[in-house]
Amino acid sequence: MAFRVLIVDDSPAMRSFVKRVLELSGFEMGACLEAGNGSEALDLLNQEWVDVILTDINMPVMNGEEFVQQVSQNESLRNVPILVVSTDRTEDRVRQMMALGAKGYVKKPFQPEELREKLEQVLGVAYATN
Amino acid sequence: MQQIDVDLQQIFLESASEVLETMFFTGIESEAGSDLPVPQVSAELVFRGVQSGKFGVQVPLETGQQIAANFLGADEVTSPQVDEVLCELCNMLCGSVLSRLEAGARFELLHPEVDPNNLSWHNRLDAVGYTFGLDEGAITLWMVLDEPGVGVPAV
Repeated sequence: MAFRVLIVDDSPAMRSFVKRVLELSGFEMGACLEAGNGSEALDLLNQEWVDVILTDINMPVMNGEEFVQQVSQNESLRNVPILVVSTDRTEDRVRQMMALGAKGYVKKPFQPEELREKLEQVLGVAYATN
Repeated sequence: MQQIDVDLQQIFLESASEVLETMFFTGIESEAGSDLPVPQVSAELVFRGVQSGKFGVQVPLETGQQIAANFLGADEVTSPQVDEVLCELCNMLCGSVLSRLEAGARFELLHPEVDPNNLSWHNRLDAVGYTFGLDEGAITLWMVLDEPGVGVPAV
């Protein structure tokens, strides 16, 4: 199965890095959509279906907290698992994002394998690596 | 200020090693380098929390280009890409440093910005900075606290 992924981050460089890491890790990616903040991501999600969302927290216009909250409260989006990817390492922050509806949390910097493993967890699947 | 110097050198070293090795595929070659060659590129951000201040990173242009190429998996990179990657590096390094300075404390990191003037940390009042040698050149990390010395753990 190839997964449709949405990467939400205000840094184009970070989006590019995450996409590359997923490709290199053997993650079966059918499509990779990108958004620069939560608001752009919600607009995209109104038009496109995705299997999983990776989001930063600290973003302009709409930050990750509000984005996760809005997805979790949206009837048609609430089942899409969200993985938070952030430089904020505090357990308080992790608990807060999970309480808002995120299914996983990866702290930057991260090893490529760690990102893949967390994605496996939130998607509830396992797959073979190359 | 001296206490901050001693503490921050080790913290900067640990953070730079962790971040650069994990996500930028390079590493610290020596603990203390010399002044950076020119031209340089630099990025900085404001942080707020139990301690507030500014954090910055500065590298020679060639080092910045190599780090950006490593991060993006590209053979060649544009100037805007170097700036973007440097901002991301600054963000990650600051998060790593603050988590070591004040474990468990919440900080707000504002959006990093490229410093068009490439102002050296030497010219910033009360700033503390250290330069480390890299496989690809060198890197300087600097920090200035609004209230220097407050809450900084002794080594």
